[in-house]
Amino acid sequence: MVPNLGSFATLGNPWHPDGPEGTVRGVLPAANPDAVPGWLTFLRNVGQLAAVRPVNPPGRLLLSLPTGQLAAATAASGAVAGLAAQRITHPLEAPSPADVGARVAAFVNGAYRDTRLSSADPGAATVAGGTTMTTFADTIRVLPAELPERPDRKLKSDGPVLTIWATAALAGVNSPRLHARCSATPVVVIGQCSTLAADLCTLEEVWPGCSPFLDVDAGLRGWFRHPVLVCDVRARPPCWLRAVRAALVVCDGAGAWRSELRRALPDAAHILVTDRRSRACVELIEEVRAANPATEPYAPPPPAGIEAWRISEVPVTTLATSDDEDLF
Amino acid sequence: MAPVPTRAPLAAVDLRYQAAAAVDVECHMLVWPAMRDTIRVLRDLRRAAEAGVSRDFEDLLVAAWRWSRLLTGTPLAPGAEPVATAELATALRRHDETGLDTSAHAPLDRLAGLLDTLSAQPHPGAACLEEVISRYGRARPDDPPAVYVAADIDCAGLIRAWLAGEELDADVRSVTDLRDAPVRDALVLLGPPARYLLSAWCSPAHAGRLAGWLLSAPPAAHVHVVTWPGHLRLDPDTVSVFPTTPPPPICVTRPDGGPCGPGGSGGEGAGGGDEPVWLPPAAVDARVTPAASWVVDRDPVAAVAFRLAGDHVVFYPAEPGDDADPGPTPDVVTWDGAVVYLTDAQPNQVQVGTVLLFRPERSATDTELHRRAEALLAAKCGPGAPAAAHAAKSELKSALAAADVDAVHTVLSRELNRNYRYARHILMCVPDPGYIAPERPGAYQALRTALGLGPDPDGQADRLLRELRAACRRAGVEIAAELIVTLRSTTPWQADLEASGHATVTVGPLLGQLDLRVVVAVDPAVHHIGRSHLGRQSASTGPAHRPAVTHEDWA
Repeated sequence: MVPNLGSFATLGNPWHPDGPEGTVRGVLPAANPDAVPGWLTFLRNVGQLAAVRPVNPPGRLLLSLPTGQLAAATAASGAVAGLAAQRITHPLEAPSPADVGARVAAFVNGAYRDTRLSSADPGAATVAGGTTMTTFADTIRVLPAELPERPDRKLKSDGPVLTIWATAALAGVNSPRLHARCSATPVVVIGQCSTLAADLCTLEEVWPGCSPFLDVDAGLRGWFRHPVLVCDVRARPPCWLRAVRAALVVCDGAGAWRSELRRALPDAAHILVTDRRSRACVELIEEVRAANPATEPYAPPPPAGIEAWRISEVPVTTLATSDDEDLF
Repeated sequence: MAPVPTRAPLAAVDLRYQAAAAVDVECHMLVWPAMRDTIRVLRDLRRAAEAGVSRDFEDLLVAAWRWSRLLTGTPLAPGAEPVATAELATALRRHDETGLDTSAHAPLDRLAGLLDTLSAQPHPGAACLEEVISRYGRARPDDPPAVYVAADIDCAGLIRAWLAGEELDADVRSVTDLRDAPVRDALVLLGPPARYLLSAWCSPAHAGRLAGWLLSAPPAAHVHVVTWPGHLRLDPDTVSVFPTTPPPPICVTRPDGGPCGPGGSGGEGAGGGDEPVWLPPAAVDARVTPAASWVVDRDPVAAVAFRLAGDHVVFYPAEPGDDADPGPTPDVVTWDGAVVYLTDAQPNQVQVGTVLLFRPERSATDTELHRRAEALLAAKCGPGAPAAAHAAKSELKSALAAADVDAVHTVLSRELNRNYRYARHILMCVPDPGYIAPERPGAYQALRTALGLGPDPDGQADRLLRELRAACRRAGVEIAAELIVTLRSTTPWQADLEASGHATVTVGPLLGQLDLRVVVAVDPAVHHIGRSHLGRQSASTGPAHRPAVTHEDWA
């Protein structure tokens, strides 16, 4: 059962006591902060705010942009930065004593492993093999029963991913823990992996290190092991998806918004990135507006040239389980 | 991993955002009294045609429509050779002399006189275009032209030739090409953005929203909209995707050098009307009365009806198909400039103006599909595989023909875990010559058991039939790709569709012809018709021939 995170809405703005309203301190510093265009900062802040501030009902944000390039990658990058800096684990997400014996995902000895929970106490948890975890206890997540067996995933101590995370880590926070914490409630990007990778390379000019930071090669099977999961528009939602929660869903284009996968994650915030030069995107927004009359402009106001609106969407989960049968 | 696509560098993306944030739109409203009067007469003639005219008169109207489209989409003088104004006037007079269509005599006579007047006049857009393009220039000789001119695809060549003749430096591109074009100094639109996507089947408001990006996200810092009678009004409210987003500021200039100021409406001096010159009759009767031959007693299906151009009708299932019986779905053709898309839509996505694709010579396509599928199967599984697969397929059909269907249905339902609907669907499909075998795991073996054919040794037949199915699907994908390539490389069908709502494209000797028809009305009622009539276009009086599929003939 997906926990109701409505109580988060009452927590108020939990971050940046020293920053202006609507901006979040990022994990990766910009190469030259003064040279970052306003639209890029806006898109990054949109991702950050949507990922770390869950509300009930979950937010739906529609962005109409002059071009679709860089937008999804920037929002995803911002979301991860926000999660790393400000993520607060909800009590319902952490395993309870009732989960003892269940299969869990844990970060043990520098590797992501699927193991069994032996005990769960406040602030500490023991997994199979007798390893007691205190520092990483808040990154343990109960695995859905239907999730297939997975081999361990080791974060190489000299690999680019960990190096970047180590560089990006906030003071006093262990970098693998940061990675594990973000991976516990990942960001799902529905779009094309290759374009996202190309956009990340472009964004390296602004935020050096953001390319391996997003680790775009992971699909849904990497849930709880990657901060960002990039899925194709045609990806079918597995049945276990109902039992996990994403921090944010970024839909790159009209096809992503219409995808089954997006509809299978109704409890996360959704951001739709559209290129207003695309006929499909214009028609989608017309359709969404007609179906959801309760719309309001996004605040803070976006820079000129960007249109941003919120809608309230009634969550509907549809999971297809049967194969098609046709004449052939 | 897929190859990484070419993406614009950050600076290029930033330029596009900057252009969208601070776009400067100037609307040049030109006066052309003779053209304005001509458009009015053409509208009168259109109304006269709705009351019933001769076939020759209808052809003349189509020719006049093409003529007006050329003059609204290019700056060519009416007397120029490609416009053929004099030829049109001669044809009008010749028709007038025949004595047909006497009710339209007065407007025809007036139109011919106006065409004579226009032939001697220059195009006012030409001087304006020259003045606008002259404002900009290349910074360096090696740079590309600083100005884009947006053109319809069929007019681009004419505009390029005109620019070359006038020694003007501009890059003529279609709207589709402009979408990904790099940002330059200026973009010149010949008419409001909606004009580029407007057709008899796409309303001005919808076209305005689809093309609004030419003003809100243009590939240039300055946009000049040059508009004259015959164009739509420039409606700034359709530019933004969301309702309260303010449109970009538009400065309107008039040819008399009057004061410039923010504005948005082309007014009477420019467009002189909200609708294009030619539209289908506004009141198309959407109701369809199915002919008796559509309605059968056995196996009726709830269906929605679409009235097509040329007084044709097509039915599709009212409810989305389930996994047991998906039913036919509309093949929708859309295009954006030279790019053509063929998509498999749902019936509830079909609207007035949607272009549907039909294959009247379906048997030719099916023959070609099976030929290719057999070749693919033979290449993968050996030369004897197609014959063996067809033998396994025929074995099911022969056994069913000789069996007690009720008994088979009972056993098959039991074998399929009491899935009566699926069992019934299988038994209905098996006699179809195109049907291969049940697809779901275990269903083929269940059918063999129900038919008393015994187990499939080593699952060899099942495997072979699955390979045949995969080969058919691959061949189908190949054929669909060829259809799209043919549609992309054949352009006159778009003009035919706009003119009459119907076009025919020949794909090749092996695949036959394609029929493209525009939906002119959607019948809100639900009809119950024979399943085999779904997805096939017919004259509204009823199908001329019984379909080849014989579901309802089978008992």
